Amino acid sequence: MLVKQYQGMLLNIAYSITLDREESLEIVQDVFVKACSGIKGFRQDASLGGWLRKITINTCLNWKRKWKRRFRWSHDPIESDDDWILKDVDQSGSNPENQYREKEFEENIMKQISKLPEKIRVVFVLNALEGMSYDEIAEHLNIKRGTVSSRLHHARKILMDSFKSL
Amino acid sequence: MKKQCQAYAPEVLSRFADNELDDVLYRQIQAHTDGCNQCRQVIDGYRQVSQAASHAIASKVSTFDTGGLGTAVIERVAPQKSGGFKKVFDYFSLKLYLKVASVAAVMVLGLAYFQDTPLNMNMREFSELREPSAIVTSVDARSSVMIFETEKSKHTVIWFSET
Repeated sequence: MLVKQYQGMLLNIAYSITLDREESLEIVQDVFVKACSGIKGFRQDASLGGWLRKITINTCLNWKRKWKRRFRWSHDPIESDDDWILKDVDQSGSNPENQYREKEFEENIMKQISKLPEKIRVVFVLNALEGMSYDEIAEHLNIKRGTVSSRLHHARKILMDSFKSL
Repeated sequence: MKKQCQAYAPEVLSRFADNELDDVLYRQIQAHTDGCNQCRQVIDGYRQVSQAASHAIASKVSTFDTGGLGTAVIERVAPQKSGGFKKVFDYFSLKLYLKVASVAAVMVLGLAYFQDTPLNMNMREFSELREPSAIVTSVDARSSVMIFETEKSKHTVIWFSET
């Protein structure tokens, strides 16, 4: 089914832009509803995944309704880091120590990603997650290719600097 | 501390990491990185940051409960009908035997209404009555009675109301 096939990809995009689990689930639900009701607008020669991805990005960027909640997330996470890590440690298998470290590392990355300005973060995640080319990102976000390049580099520089300081 | 190689701007190295350079510049940097450990490390670092971020996001999202997503979408996509259209839609969504049964019931009741049985005759006469033959308000003023009489068959219908 359409939802099962694409929900992972769309959730990755939605979550990396909104940084909120509930919002990203709502957005993806909206995207599928929009896609079903507007399926006539889908061009047969285009990729269905690409079309859904575009709707998701637009929906995320227009998702202003819960802006305050999104802002709060980066300062006051609903789940504390320790809770999340401990929960995963409890579920861990043969090597709890490695899993703990891995989760800790991932959580640190997420923290640093959440600190990126949204415009920079969107470009970064579309490239890193979806492997989108500069031209594709520029077209999706209606910005210049050079802007994509500079934002992407900026994101990488911030993230690498933050990892060095850890 | 060793000074960072300045041969290429970091943004150009970032574009190299994404294979977003023209062929000439790409080959130049490739040749340069064969001998420059610093630039190679920068490029590797850019790639690793992207990979780590991608992995972290996917890992986080994989913990989400998406069980109800498909159902929620189906519920929202289902036709939003209302009023008479909804009733018509609901009727056509009934099972075949229910449709046949409902049509048969309407036909039987319709035919029965037009049969000249005594009860039907009285009912039709009663429905044609305009005014009651008499209205009696009871003595205690809490109840009233209306008396009807059909013209042809002279049947009496008593309607009693208690307030």
